[in-house]
Amino acid sequence: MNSNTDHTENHKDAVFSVNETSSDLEELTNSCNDYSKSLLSSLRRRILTSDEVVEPGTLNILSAKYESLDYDTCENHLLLDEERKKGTKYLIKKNLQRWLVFLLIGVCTALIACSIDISIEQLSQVKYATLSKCVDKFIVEGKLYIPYFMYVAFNIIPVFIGASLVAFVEPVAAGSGIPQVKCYLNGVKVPQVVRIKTLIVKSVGVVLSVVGGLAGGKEGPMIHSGAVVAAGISQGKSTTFNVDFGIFKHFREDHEKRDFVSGGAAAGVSAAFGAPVGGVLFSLEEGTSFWNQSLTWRTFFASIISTFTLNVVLSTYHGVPGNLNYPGLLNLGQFERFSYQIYELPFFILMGSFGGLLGALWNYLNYKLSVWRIRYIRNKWLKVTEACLIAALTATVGFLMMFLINDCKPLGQDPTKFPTQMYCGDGEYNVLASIWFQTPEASVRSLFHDPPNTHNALSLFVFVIAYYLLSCTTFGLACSIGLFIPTLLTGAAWGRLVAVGLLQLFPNATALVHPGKYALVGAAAQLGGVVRMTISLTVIIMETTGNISFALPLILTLIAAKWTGDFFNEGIYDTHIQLSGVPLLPWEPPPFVHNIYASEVMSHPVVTLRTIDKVDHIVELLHLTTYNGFPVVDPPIREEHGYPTYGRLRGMILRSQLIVILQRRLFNETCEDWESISSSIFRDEYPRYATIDEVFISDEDKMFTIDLRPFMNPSPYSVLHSTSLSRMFRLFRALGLRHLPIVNDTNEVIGMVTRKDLARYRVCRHRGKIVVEELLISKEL
Amino acid sequence: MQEILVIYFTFLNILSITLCEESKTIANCTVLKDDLANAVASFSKCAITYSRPIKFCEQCVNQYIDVLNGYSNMSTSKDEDGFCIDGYVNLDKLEILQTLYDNSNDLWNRANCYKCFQMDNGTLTNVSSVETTTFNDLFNKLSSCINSSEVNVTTVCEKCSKQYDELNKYYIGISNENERIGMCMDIVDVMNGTRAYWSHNCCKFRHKNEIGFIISTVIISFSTILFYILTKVCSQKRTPVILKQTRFAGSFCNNAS
Repeated sequence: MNSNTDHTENHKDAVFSVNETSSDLEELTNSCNDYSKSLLSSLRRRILTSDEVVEPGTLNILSAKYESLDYDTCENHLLLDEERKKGTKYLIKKNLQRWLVFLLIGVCTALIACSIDISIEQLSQVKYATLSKCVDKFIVEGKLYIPYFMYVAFNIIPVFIGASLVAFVEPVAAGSGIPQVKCYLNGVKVPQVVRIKTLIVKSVGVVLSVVGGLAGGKEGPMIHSGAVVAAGISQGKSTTFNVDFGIFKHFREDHEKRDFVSGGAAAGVSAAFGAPVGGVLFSLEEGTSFWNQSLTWRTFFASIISTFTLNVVLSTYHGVPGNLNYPGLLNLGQFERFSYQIYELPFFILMGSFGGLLGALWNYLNYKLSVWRIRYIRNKWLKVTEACLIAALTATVGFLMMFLINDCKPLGQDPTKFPTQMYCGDGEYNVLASIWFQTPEASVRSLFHDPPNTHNALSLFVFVIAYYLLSCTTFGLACSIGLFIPTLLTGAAWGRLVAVGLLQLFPNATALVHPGKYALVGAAAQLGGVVRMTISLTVIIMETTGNISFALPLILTLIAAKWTGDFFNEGIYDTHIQLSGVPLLPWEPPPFVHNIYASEVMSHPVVTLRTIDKVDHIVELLHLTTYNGFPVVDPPIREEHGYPTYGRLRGMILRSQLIVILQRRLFNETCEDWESISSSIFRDEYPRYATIDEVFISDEDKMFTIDLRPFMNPSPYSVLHSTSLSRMFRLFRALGLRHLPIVNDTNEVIGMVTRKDLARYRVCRHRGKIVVEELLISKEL
Repeated sequence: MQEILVIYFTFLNILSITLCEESKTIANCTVLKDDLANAVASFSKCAITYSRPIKFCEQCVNQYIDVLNGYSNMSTSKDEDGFCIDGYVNLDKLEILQTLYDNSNDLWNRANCYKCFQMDNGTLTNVSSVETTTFNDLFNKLSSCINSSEVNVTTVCEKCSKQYDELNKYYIGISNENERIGMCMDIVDVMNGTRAYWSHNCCKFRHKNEIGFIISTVIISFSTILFYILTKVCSQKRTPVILKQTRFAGSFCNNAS
């Protein structure tokens, strides 16, 4: 205890000493008042809060619970030893293993996708066939409430199980998982996100939610599953099941794992949409900061393997083994050739803007609802109840639409799986029943491909509004379910509505006004307006429809949708990331921050360790602080004033390393007892290190000392205190750093910059204005 | 290598000789061509004649068989220049003969007409299939009921519903509704007409008072809204505390003042 108080006092002294000793900081400290004034008068806007307390559910708070991943290789002596011992052979072996892992990722992701797909298809077939039959049986008896309650029950029961799994077993498996994967690839450690438990809950949950008839799809969860599979396979062990296969030991670090996860996400996209190129671009677009040619190549390999495996399995399942016609889960089907004229392009842009507007509204409504959920629906049982109620509401809306809108079409003209007669004549079926009594994915397909005049304007219009609101309510429930399909469905429906309207206006243009074409443009616009993805979305839609010549209209639509939507708010994934307070670093540093310097951004009193430090000091430090990295410094020299200056930077050591050192008792005094140590001692414990409370240190041990020099990273990236924010940002983003020590002219550590310090400065584009906000940090978010 | 080539060519020679021997009879290709032309013409005429209401399959089956025979005659018969058909196909881009023949075939197949007739060893006959005759029997029963003197528009639903149900059930049994056209087009058309007539007169009975259903939908929708309101009322407020960050400037100002 003694040494600790000593330590903090040192720091106080250090702060005070600035005024007198460090001449290099004089210009900053000339006048404290002027300085702080100039801080506030810059372009930044700081959210003022009273009593340092905020309402939960704001976008402007970062959560303190998110840690950063560590992509920087620790070049300590152990690593150098390892490199000396192993040579070319080891390197080649490691590279071959990488390829093997990517192959396995592709295969396993596809197999999971297949089992999800097949289960959904089988279960929903049973469900909708029963419902369709029952409706027609009871409608003549005037007891429509019987099939209605059956529908409600068929929805609620699976959703109840799925939501309970998510709420009670693994809350991180809720939603599509794309925001979480995006954060992970960005370098934020989202707790539990790549665990096997998450994978199980996610895949079972998505089957149950889709079978439960919720307005959602299985594509987003597939991407998350791919990421988990990648993270799991590449480690060659499972901490959950306590199994270690003893393989792939060299991949047990954040850096390698991140590369595999980016491959896994790509394989997931590829399996979900049958879009291998789209998958690779998704990984690129959604954040892998460190991206090189060989990783791209391997990622592409995993994607192709994934879609191939899926193809083989699904074609066998559909009874045509070897016929590779099932590249992805979402099969939008081949479009019959449609042409477009150059004068249609402005119209597509208009549709894109409209999609952007609808998307922005969708995001706004969903944001409001999410805030409500964060504030008031925190209890797990409440979450399950909410999911069940929404499932019942979905059934109600669907059934009411069938009941109220008597849109009948003769049987046999269009492919309908379960034609339901309702109030139609014999030999006719109710169009709305046929839309509702199938999985949303099949509905998208029929909107794209059904011949003109299949749907009448009124039923489409009511359907658009109902589904728009339902999908908005559904996203954010405690269910693993994605938003691609419902958004596509809404967009396709209003796109078709546009085609119907155009045909009314220009009855002669039947050749040009192909309803499927407008459904596609509408779907793209709506999706672009909600998720605001660009490259990968264009390529994914292109690949799923197999229509390359339609790339220009698609890209124009998506650009229009994104720009229109960005005028109002952010994409839905970013909104949810901001709501959960994840310190995400965007692609570019915020504008107008060249005048913000490291000395202003950094955390100031830095907790440092000396090159040789006492065990009880280290243990106290680990107990008292939450920091994960500590600069290792030379002992500060006392100057003539009697105040110590800062220590000179010698290296960086991580909390996890310290814990391993303590666990293995690598003390100077016990060096005779050391087992052979190599860098694998740190990899063996990865990814779950013990906390300091779990490490037992005897009183005798506390007297010992540790020499940190062989374990620390002797050459950490560090910058001068006069470095601008944007420069630090780029360094952080490009290298995937976790800690960045700030030094003064004499290489003494005066501060530390971490991810949260940089993520605090966030650019905010709102209604055409661009400002930089400074966010606050809260622990309990 | 050479040996293999020799064997190969001898084999080819033998093959061509046997092929030639098969169709030794010299035919008159012009006559065959005229036959085919007449067959296609009468088939087209028949098709248009019986296009509405569709009796195409039933009425044009003989003409269609003529077309098939005419074409196969041309492809198997030879004159001194080779197969008759070779004088008409694959010579120009218009391909008149092939186009018209394919058209006839296509029309026949799209109407699923082959389902109306019995097949004999893979060749089409003009004998109606069992399904067709059974269906026609049932349909005749229904029509005689509808047309009988004691039935008028108001009583038709009660009186003939037995016959109608039988016919409807049988039709559903033989046609696969998931496909675009399950049964031969003649039957589909007859059935569509019957159903339209029947639904027009008798479908009102499907509409019942569904007050129970409507009340239950209202209850469920209302309870969802109530749930959201209750969550707000019943939950206690949570206020996350902002972490004070230690900054260089801040700490300095505090200490200096």
